[in-house]
Amino acid sequence: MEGLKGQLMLLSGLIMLFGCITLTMVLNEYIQALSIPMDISGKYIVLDVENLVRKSIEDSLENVTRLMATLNVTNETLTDYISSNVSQILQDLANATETYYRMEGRYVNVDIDKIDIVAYNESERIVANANITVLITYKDEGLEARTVVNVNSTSEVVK
Amino acid sequence: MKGQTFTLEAILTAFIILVTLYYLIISFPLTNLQKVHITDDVYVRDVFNFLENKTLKESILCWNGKVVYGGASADDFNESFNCSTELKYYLKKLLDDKRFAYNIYVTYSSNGSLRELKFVYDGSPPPNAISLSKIVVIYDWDNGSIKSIVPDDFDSYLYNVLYVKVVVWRV
Repeated sequence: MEGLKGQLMLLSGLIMLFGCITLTMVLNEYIQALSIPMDISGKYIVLDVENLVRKSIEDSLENVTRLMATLNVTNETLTDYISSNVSQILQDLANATETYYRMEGRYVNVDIDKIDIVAYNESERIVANANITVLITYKDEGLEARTVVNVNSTSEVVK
Repeated sequence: MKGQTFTLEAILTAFIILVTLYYLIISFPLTNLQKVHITDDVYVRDVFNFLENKTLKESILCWNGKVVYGGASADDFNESFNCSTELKYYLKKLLDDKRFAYNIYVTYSSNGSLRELKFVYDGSPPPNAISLSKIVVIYDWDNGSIKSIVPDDFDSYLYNVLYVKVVVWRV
């Protein structure tokens, strides 16, 4: 009878041990969840994406034009070449941006509305002019914002 | 027999208390828990808007993948970079000296999946920490040691797009 009592107490102790460990682990998870930092980006994401798009258009136009200067691209295909490369860069950037913000539970849509690029090849230089319009939409639980970005940029590269 | 049972019970109780204490210690960050003032939000955002334009991309480009533990005040900060960077100067002047601690994480895409790297790590943030994100674009024409860590994930002249997440708190 005495041995049985001891075994019962041991069993109770073990059950209490598991109960306490489980409770502490649950509390720990809860405290960790409360520790998620507050995101202060909010509506400023629209401005960030706008700056990103503007900078990306300028960077890609300048560098793609520079790359064209090193290749033997005829005047007929120059505009198509620059236009398709800049469009592809912007589209890839738009997709990546949307994916990253979706990961954080925010809806960001970057829609490249219009791309007009005119480029010409002269004996000593290549000139490219881009007029690009991008629509940016942002949505989260309590905010919806839209903006239209129009960038007119010219790049001139000496051969 | 009774004495042995009590001893065993005491050992179990001590074990439970130790485990509970251990979990409590690792759960609570030992930092100042005062509310971050609203002006801190504006200040931190301004700091990273300023850094984003040039310094942040330059530093990430020549980052060798070694985590910077302890922020800009760390002695071995420069060992994480293969070029001279102004990031240490600005982080120290604008955040460390103003009693801010911060973690910076860099996420990149690799074959459609996302991977996160610790860039600067100052410890576990408290519940009153604030966070913000910036996007850094790497093109094929950019050069730097980051290209040995981050793969070219696009068919265009875009090399990869990095999602830089910053977590800042008062110490």
